[in-house]
Amino acid sequence: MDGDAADLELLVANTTQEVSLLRADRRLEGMDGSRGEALRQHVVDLLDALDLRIAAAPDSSAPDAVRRAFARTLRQCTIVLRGAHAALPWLAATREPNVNLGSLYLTEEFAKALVGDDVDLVVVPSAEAMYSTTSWPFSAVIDGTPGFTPSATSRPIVLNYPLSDSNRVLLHALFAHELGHAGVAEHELLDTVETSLYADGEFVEAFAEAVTEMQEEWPASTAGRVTVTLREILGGWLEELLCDHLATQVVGPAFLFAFAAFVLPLSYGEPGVVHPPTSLRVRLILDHLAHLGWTEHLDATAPGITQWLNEVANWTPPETQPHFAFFRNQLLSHSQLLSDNAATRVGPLTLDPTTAVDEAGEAAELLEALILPVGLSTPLSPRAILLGGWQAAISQHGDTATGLVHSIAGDQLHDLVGKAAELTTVWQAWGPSR
Amino acid sequence: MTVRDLQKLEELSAAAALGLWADDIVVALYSATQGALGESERHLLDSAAQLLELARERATHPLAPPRSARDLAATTTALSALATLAEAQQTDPPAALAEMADAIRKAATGSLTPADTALVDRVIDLFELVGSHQLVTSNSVLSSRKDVEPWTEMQPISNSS
Repeated sequence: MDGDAADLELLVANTTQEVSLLRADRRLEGMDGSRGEALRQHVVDLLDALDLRIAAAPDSSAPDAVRRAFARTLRQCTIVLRGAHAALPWLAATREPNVNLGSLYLTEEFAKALVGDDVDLVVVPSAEAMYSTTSWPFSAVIDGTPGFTPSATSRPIVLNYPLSDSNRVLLHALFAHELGHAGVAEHELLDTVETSLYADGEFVEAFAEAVTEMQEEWPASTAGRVTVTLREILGGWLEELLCDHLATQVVGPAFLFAFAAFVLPLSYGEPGVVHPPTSLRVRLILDHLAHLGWTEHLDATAPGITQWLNEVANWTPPETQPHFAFFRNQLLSHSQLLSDNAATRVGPLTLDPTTAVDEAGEAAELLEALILPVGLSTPLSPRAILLGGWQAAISQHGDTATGLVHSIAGDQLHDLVGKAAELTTVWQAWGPSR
Repeated sequence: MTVRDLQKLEELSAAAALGLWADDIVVALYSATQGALGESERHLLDSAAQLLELARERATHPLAPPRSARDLAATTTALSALATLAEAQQTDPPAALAEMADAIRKAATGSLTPADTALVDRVIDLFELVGSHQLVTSNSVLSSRKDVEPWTEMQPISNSS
């Protein structure tokens, strides 16, 4: 029987053994440097928290309900422990980084702007050809353990990227979007945006109308259930769009180019449960770039691609799914909320076109001559080098959709951008001005 | 970027945490009936009462969204569980939620009486159902399956709107 003496004996033996096996894994041993240490400590915190739960076995006089609750607790522990095995290869990867070093430095700069200083970045290739991220992956279980105080204080962030993209540095502007998720969580940005949105009378009225409309589409559902469904989808879309705005704030047009090159081959205007239609994302990225003062630069360096992306952005989906029309209309009319939150979060670390345009132009000129673009008189900023890399690639491959695709192929230009970002970061950290 | 596979771990952790919390409530309610409630258990019972009050608010006003994604998930699960119990027991969901929240508050302050025994048992049934549902959910996330209706087969709550 579930929770009887034999069942609890099995479960205690199993979870104790699973915890011991993880503790004994060599990949969980202490680190030589600091990279990966917060993640390691986070996993150790999980094991310590679960040990505390295993030790709370009820005595034999406890009623069946308590024994069943303990049995479920240990089964949940086992499930989480199996999930925790995923962290071990990430820890191993911190000892042998695969991604381009210049790219890693760039990513750390993004993290500083989007999340803060106290961050432990682990950048690992993925078996799936996708970019994704996780941060504090086990905190819900750790923080929910009564009487347990975790030791990890730095935020561990794991970034996944397609192995094929290790040296496609221009695409690594996408890391800024992924780090946006950690920034949203760390600074509770989604809560801030949702609070503003749900306090807006016009939005609430439109939401109620959408619920009524959707109930007609889904007659078997209740208003409560429709509300939850719409709110969950909207929450997912808002987070993605917030991350796009944050990435645009930090990386400028380089994010637009990387986004278009990577995402448009996958989807166009199809709405997803988690992700908004790509066309809507392009619309809002372009709007935010204009808001930040990048329009003149885009028109000067990539007018063809910009015109094409504006056409993508202006595409309107057929009105077959009213709730998606509701989301689209509301997000477009409330996009200022997203812009404002991104600007507030990034603040002075925003990539400012008044300085970055000249630096990117210098980097592009050097790259076109196959010269390492570290700067002729003063070191260029890594983010301006990244933008200069895109300018040079578009100039080389053509200001068209095809040129954009060929720009990410990964060649000498990517190597030069990565090496220059690496050297200027080192220069800024250790150069004579320090 | 377009598939957040890494976030599966966070989803797993969140699903497990909600189940662990529900089962902690079961144990805390038992401690309360034994007059052996610890401080951390008292906090747990306070959080359980708050959740049921939020769920009652949602059952009464379905268009009023809860404050956070966690609240949304927890109240949805609690409402579904309650709907299952309510169907079995022929009770009015918002009234049952209010009654249960009161019983938990009494348990947290050590003021339960023998007359509350049956109600506390119903609260324990509710949180056992939440714990069972979350165990199915965690298993589904771990194996990347999205079971549309777990074997606990909860029914959507009917509301007053």
